[in-house]
Amino acid sequence: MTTTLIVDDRRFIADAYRQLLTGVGHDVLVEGDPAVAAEVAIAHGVDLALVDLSFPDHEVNGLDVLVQLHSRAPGVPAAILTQADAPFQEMLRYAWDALPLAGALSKDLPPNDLLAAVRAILAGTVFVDPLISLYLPSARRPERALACYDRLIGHAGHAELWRALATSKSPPDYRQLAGQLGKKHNTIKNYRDDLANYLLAFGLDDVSSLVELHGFARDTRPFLLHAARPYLSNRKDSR
Amino acid sequence: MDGKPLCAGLGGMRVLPNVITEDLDLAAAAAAGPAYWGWRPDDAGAVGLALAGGVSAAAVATSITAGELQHFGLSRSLVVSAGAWLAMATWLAVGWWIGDRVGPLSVVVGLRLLSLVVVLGLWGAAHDGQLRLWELWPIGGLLGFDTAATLHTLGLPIQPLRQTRALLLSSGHLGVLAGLIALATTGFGDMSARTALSLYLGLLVNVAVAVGAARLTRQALGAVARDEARWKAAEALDRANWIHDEMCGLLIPLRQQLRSGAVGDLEEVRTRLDDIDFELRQIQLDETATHHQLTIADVIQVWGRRVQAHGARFEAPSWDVTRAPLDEVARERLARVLGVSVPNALAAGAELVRLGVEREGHQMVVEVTDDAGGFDTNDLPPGRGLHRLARELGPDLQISATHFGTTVSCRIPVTT
Repeated sequence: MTTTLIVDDRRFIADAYRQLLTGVGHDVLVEGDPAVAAEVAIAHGVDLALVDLSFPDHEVNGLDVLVQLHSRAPGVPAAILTQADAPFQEMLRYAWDALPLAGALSKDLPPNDLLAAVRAILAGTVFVDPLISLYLPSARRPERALACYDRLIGHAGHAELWRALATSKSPPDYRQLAGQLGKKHNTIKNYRDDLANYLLAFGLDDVSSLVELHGFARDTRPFLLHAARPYLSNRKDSR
Repeated sequence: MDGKPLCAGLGGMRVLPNVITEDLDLAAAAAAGPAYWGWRPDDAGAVGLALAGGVSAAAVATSITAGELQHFGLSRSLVVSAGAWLAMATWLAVGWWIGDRVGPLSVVVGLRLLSLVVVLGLWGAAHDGQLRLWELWPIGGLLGFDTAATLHTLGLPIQPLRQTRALLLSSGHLGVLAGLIALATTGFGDMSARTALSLYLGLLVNVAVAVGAARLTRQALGAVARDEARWKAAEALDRANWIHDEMCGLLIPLRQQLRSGAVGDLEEVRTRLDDIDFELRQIQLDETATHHQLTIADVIQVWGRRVQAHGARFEAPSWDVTRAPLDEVARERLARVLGVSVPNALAAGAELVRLGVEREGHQMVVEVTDDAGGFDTNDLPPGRGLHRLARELGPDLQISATHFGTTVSCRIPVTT
């Protein structure tokens, strides 16, 4: 029996999918908390994970789940389940470029089409709903692969900068960043300049804009923090 | 003030031949600072206009010799004042234009214009090219507002006291102080200790006024930001209520019909819910368009969902093509073409609706192809949507029969 995990905090939607997939013989798990979803997937040895991107009431989102699954259970096919609304389109593209996802499905996909998509994914085909392909490039961009985020973090200072930007709810200014990180104003600017060329490869228009850097950091937080982990954990250990 | 003429410019103070410093300082005061804070990559026209206005004002004010003035019976201060008003008018226009985009900075524009006028006027009034100590305050104001506006534009915090402390402890300031002390004590040139003291006090007056100006600017920016926040809160409340009303308008009739048994079966309920979903998508699109530029993808996706909801297959181009932004006219025309051709295809029983988009110069070519079997494209039923659309768009709309169905092709001018 195929075990499928649905990661979505909207109970009605998750239940509708559970009912649909149970009807064709799947064993379906539903998890509304993205912080524990990867653990659930690994503990139950799921065959497929369908992951929503948006979790407004949680500190982590669907990208965190996908990164964890990619790192800890790379054999499990994972597909994005999304409405592709405006706030999540950029995040969707970053995810598509960064991870070898098995598919991207619209939540509006009619039941029969959804079942066909699930069958295709389980058979090893990458399935992209045409509604979602409207928002995805025709080919994945290798310069935005998960490994490329390593280039954005050359040392612990960069790691701390990205963590501060990614976890800040609104765009901070240089003074706030300097105060938060306990560094000089110019040091923060030097970090930014260090990374400018690499950021251009990620499609940022104005790397001098903290607003744009903040938006990028918010959209790609799980990838940045994944790359920053060695530096941040070393720093913690040394204290 | 005795000794050499004093010229306090944007870069500090210099003791240089009279004519050169007067021209340079006036031009710099009129043009350099304002152009700096007004600069943005997409505002090149405004910067050019501002520079032209400022420099021309400075040129008028400084290039006419005393003899020429006497010939026309004009005083130098009158000419300089006229130049200053010319500069102010230019900046007012530019400030208005930029102020629409940046909001709070328009407050600063008015204040700094006043300083500019006073600086130029006082300078012109100094017939011998010298300024008195008390005449330095407008320069401080000019510097202060310029500093504040520049910091704000660059996204840096306006912190008058902290920035003053940094200036007073800077090598530039200490160098000036040491130089003046050296000049006064060694008697180099003909500068007296009194002149050196005046120069130094002049610098401090500049700083003091700049600090006050920056503080006022910060308060002004804060007041405007607070007003803006209140306005946004009120607008958000209005929108929340409006969206709630719209949703109720869609859902309540369905609920009433379900209660009264007026809705026949589940299939009818599903159709009604699809219609409601479609209406909500349109509302979402309209709302998004009020603050963001929509893309081709945004408009197409509404109809793609409609196609899928009808059980038909939908094919569309990738984001490489659909990412292109749409101006309002192009968006309306695209929505109009899709709004006629897609429902037509679905009503005719299409199992596949394929959308194609290509860019050809300043036009976008949209193709809607279906497999519904086709019809006589030369005999469109009058009064029907496609007939009206064909009359509306003329040669921009082409309808052709394919082996399996119909292709509606439309050229849409785009400006983006």
